Amino acid sequence: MFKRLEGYDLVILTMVVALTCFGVVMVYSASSIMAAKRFHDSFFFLKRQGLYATLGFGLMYATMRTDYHVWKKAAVPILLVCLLSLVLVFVPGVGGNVKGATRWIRLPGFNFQPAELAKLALIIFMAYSLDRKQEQIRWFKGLVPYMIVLLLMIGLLMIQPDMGSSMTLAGVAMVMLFAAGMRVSHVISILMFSAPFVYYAIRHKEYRWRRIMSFLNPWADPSNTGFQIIQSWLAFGTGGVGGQGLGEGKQKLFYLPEAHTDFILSVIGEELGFIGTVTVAAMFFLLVHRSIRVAIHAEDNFGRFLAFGIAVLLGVEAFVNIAVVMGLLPTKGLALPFISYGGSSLILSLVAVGILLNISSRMRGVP
Amino acid sequence: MRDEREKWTRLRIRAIGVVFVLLLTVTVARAFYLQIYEQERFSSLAEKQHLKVVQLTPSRGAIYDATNSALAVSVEMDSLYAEPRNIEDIPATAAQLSPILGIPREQLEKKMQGSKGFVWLQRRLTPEVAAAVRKLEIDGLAFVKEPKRFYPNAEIGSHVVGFTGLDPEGLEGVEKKLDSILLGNTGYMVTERDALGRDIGTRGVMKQDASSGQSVALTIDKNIQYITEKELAAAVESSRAKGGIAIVMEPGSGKILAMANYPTFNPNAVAKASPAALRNKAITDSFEPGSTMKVFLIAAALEEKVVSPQDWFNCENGVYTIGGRTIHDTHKYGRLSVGDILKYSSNIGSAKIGSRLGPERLYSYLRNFGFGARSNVDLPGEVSGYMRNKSQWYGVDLATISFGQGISVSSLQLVTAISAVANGGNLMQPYVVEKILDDKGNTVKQFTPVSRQRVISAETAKAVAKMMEGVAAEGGTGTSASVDGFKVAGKTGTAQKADPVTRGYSIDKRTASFVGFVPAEQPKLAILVVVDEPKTSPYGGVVAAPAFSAIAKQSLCYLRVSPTQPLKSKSGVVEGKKSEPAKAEAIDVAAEEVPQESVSAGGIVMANFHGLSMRQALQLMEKRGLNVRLIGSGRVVEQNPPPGRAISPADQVWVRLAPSA
Repeated sequence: MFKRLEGYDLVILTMVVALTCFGVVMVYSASSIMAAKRFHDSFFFLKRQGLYATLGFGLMYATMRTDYHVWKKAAVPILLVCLLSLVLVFVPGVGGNVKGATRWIRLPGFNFQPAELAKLALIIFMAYSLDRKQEQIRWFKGLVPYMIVLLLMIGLLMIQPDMGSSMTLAGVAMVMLFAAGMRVSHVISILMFSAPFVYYAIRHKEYRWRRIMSFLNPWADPSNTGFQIIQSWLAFGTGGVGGQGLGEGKQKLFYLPEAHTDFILSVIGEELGFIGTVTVAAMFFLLVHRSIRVAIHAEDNFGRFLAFGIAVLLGVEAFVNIAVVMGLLPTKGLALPFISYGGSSLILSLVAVGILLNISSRMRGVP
Repeated sequence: MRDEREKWTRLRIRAIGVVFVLLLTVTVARAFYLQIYEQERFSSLAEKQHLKVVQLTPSRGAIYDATNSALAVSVEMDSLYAEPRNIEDIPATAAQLSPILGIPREQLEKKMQGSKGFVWLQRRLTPEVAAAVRKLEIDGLAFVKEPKRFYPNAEIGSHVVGFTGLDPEGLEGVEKKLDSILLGNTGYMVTERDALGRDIGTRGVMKQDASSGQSVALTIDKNIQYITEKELAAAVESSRAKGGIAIVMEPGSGKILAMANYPTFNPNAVAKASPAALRNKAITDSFEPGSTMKVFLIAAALEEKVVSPQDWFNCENGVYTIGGRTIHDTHKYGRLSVGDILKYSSNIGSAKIGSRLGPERLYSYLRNFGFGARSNVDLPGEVSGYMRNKSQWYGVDLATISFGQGISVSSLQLVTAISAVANGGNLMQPYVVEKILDDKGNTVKQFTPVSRQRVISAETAKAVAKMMEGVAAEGGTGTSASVDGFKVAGKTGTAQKADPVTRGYSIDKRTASFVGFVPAEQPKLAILVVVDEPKTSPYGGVVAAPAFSAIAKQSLCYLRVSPTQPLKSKSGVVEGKKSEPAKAEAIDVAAEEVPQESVSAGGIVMANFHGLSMRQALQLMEKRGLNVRLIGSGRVVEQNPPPGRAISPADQVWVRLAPSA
């Protein structure tokens, strides 16, 4: 078995398996009481997350063993499937609506979130395209196709609405273009051009504006808009250095909203303390660091951009989530990769890591 | 070119890698700030919201009467509160609760929107309503146990028992006076709770248990209390009076067996009663006693030997001027013996005895009989009455105080003083609390009779009692107080009420009273009946004496005191006179059709009591002249002997009552 793993970046593999397994444990800790109350089954979320992890590991292993060059050919079909699924969300009877947002496609026994697929699809498409036309992006004309694809995805996502995923997609795309040689002046002008639209999107929706305001001063209304972030701080503060002990947290008892999804790191902070929080952050950093190493030493440009895109995606997602729960960024509704409860996110992240691992097995020029 | 571009790309990738190092640093710094630097502040805030202090209300002790039936009990009930912050949909919740609680939807909605943390929705729900609310399973609604005070016998003894407020503290009566004993100690429990306010007892919970209150047993006997209230009500109603007071005391001990005020109130619905009806006027109000004070004047004069029973006084044919004021008697009398002065209630004779006694001695005897000072009875709100210091007695004062004017007394003082005459000269401490019981029913403290002082000698007491028998005997002012089969010692009182407008005496407002004890030779009961502002007749002998007789007769019957005198026939003069007010009340006895038995050769025949309430049973007993023990409360379920059976003197005659389902 271990022979089969030879040549792959075992640090990445170890980090991802460890984070995923740790996530399953934390999902149980954060959700058991809520699940017992809501579904009369304290294992409700544990069972599902365990199933997703098993499924995800299987797919990760499969993509790990698959030559990553197949994604070059599949890039455009995947992009089309992805755009189709983003449209399907709005078809009545197919799409699912939760808390005012239409983000899911109902599949038998499983709700699929196309936004998660969009992230991977965009990275694969960009890696495919940059591999062929890297030269052209030094001119504005060469940027246009990427902008069209990106805006198409963001446009569909904003209808859901899913601002968090849109921002993530835009961020990952910009970083990839920057690495590929996009002019800094272009980066700045695109940012300046899009700023009014972002401002409009925030100002236009009351809840987004409130989130920004409560982010700036949560104590202004601690029992309402500031409630989430203050409860998260209280969780971190209660944890102290060593934490209250696994399963001993109180903040998950309906004080913390979304304790098992977006705010799972707050539960980790309360139960495992500063040590737990920093360990998780360090594991993500190590994962990103090793992924960037894979990108640098990838055997070709396609592999390089693909590995880099995945590294940035995981890094951005992890950082944004951590920053949000710690009150450094306004509330977004983004999951913590591998750890937060959620099938689409976990499975697609593991698939992405599988691709990454395959690239790592074909590195050259490693010192 | 291609290598150059690759190198450039690698450099940019590394630059992004450096950015991630910065982001990690920010993350760790922030975690340090939240979890270590601000740990104390955040964790104490978190603890505060997790901890909930629950007051543990102790269950208030019960109040029992002398026969061990409950006059006041506490029942644990659910009080419903909302934590609106945790309610998802306030309008929907209000709509669901409205029909169950019987509160308009808008009102509930307003309540819940006004407050975020905690708001009472309804306190002390019935079990059915509480169960219906629980069934809804709405987050943010919760219950807390609160005791509710319940008075199973409603009006019976309400002025003595008193009542409590919504928060269980005693506001009147024994409930107030013994509040600290009944209340127990409030405990508390600090529990952890989740955001929905539910207890989560995961860690050690600080707890101070509530110790439940002790119970109290009274000297009040529910049955005598009932008889007293019924007869007082009849006397007040039939004389169209403003109100009335009646007290029954055990003269040898000072135990108060019954204390009644009319109008009365239902302690289960205090809010509906007028504030005046809530006062226990037997101790909180004083009145000018009038002629009843002559008993104590003569007792003092006999004790001091300034007069002897054989002495005669000239009663001046009803008009006598003393100290510049003219005193009148109701009827004109010539020479009267001391006993006749009492029997006919001569003011002139009393004034003359008073002048022989002198102000010092009269004052000190009245003080010794307990007037002008509180008796320290174990009930709240007692007044001392009003008696001017003897240094301020001028002119006619000695004379008027001798026949009970210019002095005010409380009903309790009067009945306690007459008990001293009845028991051979000891002024007893009046009391209503017999014993204090712990929550298992064991006696913690037993109260025993206390003699405050000897006022007169046994011989004097006997002589005064003998004279008082004349009052209820033929020709006296209180003949309608007589009780068939017993000698009654008593005294009538008829006093003009002071008019606050003219500052003199009112022409038409009187206080009519009768005070006495029975049986005269071996007194078991001392009874006072006061009728306030009767309209039909101002005289105590007419208005109050019949109630005295009725209370005495039924209570002696209930206590199974054997007659000491030969019984007169039913159609006798005394019976005819006495039953006037008693008959004024409609008799709704269910067993009316039982043949009208009477004293026959075979003795008295047992009536059918089955299914009767205590009230009806007592009425039937009275009607048939039966002496039956009543056991329990509620409706009659069992009796001995069976209906129609002749009762022999050796028979145990009783009926058992049980609460109807």
